[in-house]
Amino acid sequence: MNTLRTLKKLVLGETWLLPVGVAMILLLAALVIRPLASGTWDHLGGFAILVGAGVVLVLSVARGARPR
Amino acid sequence: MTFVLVALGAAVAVSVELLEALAIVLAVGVSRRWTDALIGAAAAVVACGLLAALVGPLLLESVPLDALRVTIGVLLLLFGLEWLRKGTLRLAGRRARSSSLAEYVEAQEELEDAPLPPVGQADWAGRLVAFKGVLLEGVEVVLIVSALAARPSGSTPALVGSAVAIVAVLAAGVWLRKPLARIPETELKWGVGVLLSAFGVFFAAEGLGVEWPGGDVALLYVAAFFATVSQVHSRVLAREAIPA
Repeated sequence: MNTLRTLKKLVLGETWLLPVGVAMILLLAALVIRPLASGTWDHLGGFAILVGAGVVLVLSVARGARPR
Repeated sequence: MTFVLVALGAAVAVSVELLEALAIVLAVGVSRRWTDALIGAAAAVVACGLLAALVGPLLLESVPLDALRVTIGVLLLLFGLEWLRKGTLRLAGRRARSSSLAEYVEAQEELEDAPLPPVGQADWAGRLVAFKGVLLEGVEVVLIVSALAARPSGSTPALVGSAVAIVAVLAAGVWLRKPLARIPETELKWGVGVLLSAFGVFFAAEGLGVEWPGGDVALLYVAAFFATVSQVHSRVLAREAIPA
């Protein structure tokens, strides 16, 4: 059990916020933004993913900085 | 330019992970016996080699190109954002700084209660601590290098960067025989976090059909974005921590 927990921490990290956040960004980008903005996706789609990843980073740091 | 950035990313990521593994092997070698420390470490290297042989071809052969880019992007983004999250908290003083020396002391403390068997008998406690330490850091190395090496343009830069890191860290370990306390590990890990996150976003977006303005140059401005967000956030947090 201890090894499984360590492996899970190794791949998914210490907080669920990052894997859930990354999954949400990519699903939102692929299933919603890409079909809606098909004309501009090729050149601007990367920036949507970049901003999403930035938001996930800020939220996860803010959560980690909260006193427990 | 992508060659240099991928090689650099692989080299620094592998270096910081190997430094931690090296600290644990050194702790076992210095406080117990070198043969047992090296046997434990060698067994973990074999296990990591088997994992690499399994993960690399699996990624390259069984996943279509665009799906492969997204898979690599997600893996790198998960590692990168986690390192960057911890790095931001460390730079803000909200988390203990990263230190191989701490790993060294921890490994020695872990072995304090286990009596050393007489010469000629295997020291299983020492072997196990060395094996566990190298395996855990090694698995992370295998996953990061496999993701960087599985890019459609080839595995050479990731393998070159990793090889340079392995030679440099092993040479430092053999030469000094103690953890490298003066290396700014927190800043190095923060830099790896920035690079891996940038690669992650770059590849994931390419896999979803994005053509980045400027081509490979995009890696630089994506990395600059993550570096800026992290630095600004760490300074805000550091300022909040100072009582008025």
